[in-house]
Amino acid sequence: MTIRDHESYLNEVADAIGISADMAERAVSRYKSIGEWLDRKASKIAQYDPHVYTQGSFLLGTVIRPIGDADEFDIDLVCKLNGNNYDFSMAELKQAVGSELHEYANAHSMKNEPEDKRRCWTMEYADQAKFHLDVLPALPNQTGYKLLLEQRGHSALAGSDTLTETAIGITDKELPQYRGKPADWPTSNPKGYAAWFHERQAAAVTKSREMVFEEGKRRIYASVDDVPQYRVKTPLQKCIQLLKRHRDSGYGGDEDKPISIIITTLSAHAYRDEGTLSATLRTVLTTMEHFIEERGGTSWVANPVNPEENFADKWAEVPRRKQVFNEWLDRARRDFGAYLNGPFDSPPDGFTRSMSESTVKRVLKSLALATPAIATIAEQASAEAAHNESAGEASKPWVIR
Amino acid sequence: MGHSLEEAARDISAALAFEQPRVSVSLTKLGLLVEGAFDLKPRKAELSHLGKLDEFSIKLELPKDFPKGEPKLFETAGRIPHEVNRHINPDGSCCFGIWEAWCALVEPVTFQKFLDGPVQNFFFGQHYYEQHNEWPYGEYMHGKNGLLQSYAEVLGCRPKVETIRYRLRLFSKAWPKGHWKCVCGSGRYIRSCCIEIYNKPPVSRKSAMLMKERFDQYFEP
Repeated sequence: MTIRDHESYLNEVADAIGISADMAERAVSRYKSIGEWLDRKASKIAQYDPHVYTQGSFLLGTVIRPIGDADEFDIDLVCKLNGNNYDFSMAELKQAVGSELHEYANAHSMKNEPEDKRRCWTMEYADQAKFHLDVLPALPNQTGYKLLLEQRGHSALAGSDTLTETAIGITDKELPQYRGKPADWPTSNPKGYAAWFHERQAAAVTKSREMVFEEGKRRIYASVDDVPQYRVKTPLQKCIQLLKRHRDSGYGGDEDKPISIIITTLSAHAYRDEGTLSATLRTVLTTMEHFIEERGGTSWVANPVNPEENFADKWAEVPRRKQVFNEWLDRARRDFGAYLNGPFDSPPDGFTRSMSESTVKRVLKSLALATPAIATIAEQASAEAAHNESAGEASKPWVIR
Repeated sequence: MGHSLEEAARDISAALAFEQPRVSVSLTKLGLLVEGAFDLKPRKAELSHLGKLDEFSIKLELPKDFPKGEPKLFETAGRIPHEVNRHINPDGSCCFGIWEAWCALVEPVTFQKFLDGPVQNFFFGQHYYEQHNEWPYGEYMHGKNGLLQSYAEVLGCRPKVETIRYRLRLFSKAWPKGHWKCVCGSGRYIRSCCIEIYNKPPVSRKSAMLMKERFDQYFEP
């Protein structure tokens, strides 16, 4: 692979901080194996037709590696059972899924038992896979979701079956109705969000799928449609990966750091079908803040599939969060801008630090650099002048007197 | 600036932080002040791997009534000699062109267009001059004659004082009277001559008024 410009360099960095295809395939096989376990004959929840699928950054294609090699990354899964809130209390669903996961861990000699978190079960993989799975027990909740949207005046969203049929009810240990039956369950719609996200970049997804298919993958995939999601990387996805890495390097240990869902939502809103990563970074970084609403004096980053949910709800309680977001955005603009304003093969210090030195060095080492040969400054100036003149972008200076 | 100065400062800061990461924006009594290192970026795609062709230390004063009010641009490191031949005005500001003539061509004027147009072209001109000892696209004559040249280009006419004055008078009216003489010099009335010029004037009324203001200062009616 040869890097000859900023665009190819940025793409290589994005690939280096992303999850490799091997890692993704390993993760997919792990979660499929859990799905099969829950659905096996002896499973106590098989009658509810359990369905395990990914959510969050894995589903969106924006997973990034942690900065330290020792750290592991997480993959969020939904485990949806075909039941309702008369069949289960939240506590019962959590335990029903948990009990099967414990059996799975024992049967597969996993070192650690699944851990009971507030909303999910966490499965640690201690082998070379270096990831853990967060399994979120859930029930279908189309009716509750529709009602919620209608009550808040979002009748257009409520009327969309495609959107509402993916809604789920989830458990939360901290709610008073956790053990009650029937009870109101918190609602979520990760598939609906992912559908919105992919719609924002539909044209780019198709193009990337075709590219992966054409790049010698014909042997592997029968058709363009068979190319799996995690193999497809669009400029928007890579842009979000770079921004998340920039956030992690500058504010990794800061509990007020900008959360991924805010970066992702604002970036997807700002994206305007740019075909390159550098153009996407330019558009996203210069306009993303325009998509933060002000509702009655409160900053609001609306969940596009449930506008009453504010991803920035913590900003009101902890004003520093908004301040850190603004600081981070300004730094990201300057770091990426400074890289694009300099030679493509010698990234400035701020940019190198923000992508992590080891990543930048690895990318530079592993790839051949090719500098196009326009030799002297005078020749460059002549080439630029000729271009400007033919493009009608020349203008003449004047003196007042 | 269309909206509040604070909002303008915020928008300009956001755009500049990415495009020109080494300049800063601040509010002053007179408007906005942009200062720092300006990266001269190539427009030619084949040169984009360089990131920039050169850099200049700049100070840019944007008046509160920008774009009606003309911005003032300075090169602050003393690299460009303060001589009229290098297009530095007597007060030390850079003469990047004729403000209202440029505005007339690019309406609506935005800060970004100003940065990508006159500012970029001025510094590219200086960069080129240092290499080749000539201006890349030529230059306007100094003072009055340059003004005539530039206005004539914008208005699409000959660089004659009376021709330009008459056009500016007509184009700065909401709608000229039909019995006035046509700008083409035929001696006929507008209504029976080049009526299409008035339907699609080369400059907006607002631009014509701004141009006329400076024109009348240079060439007393």
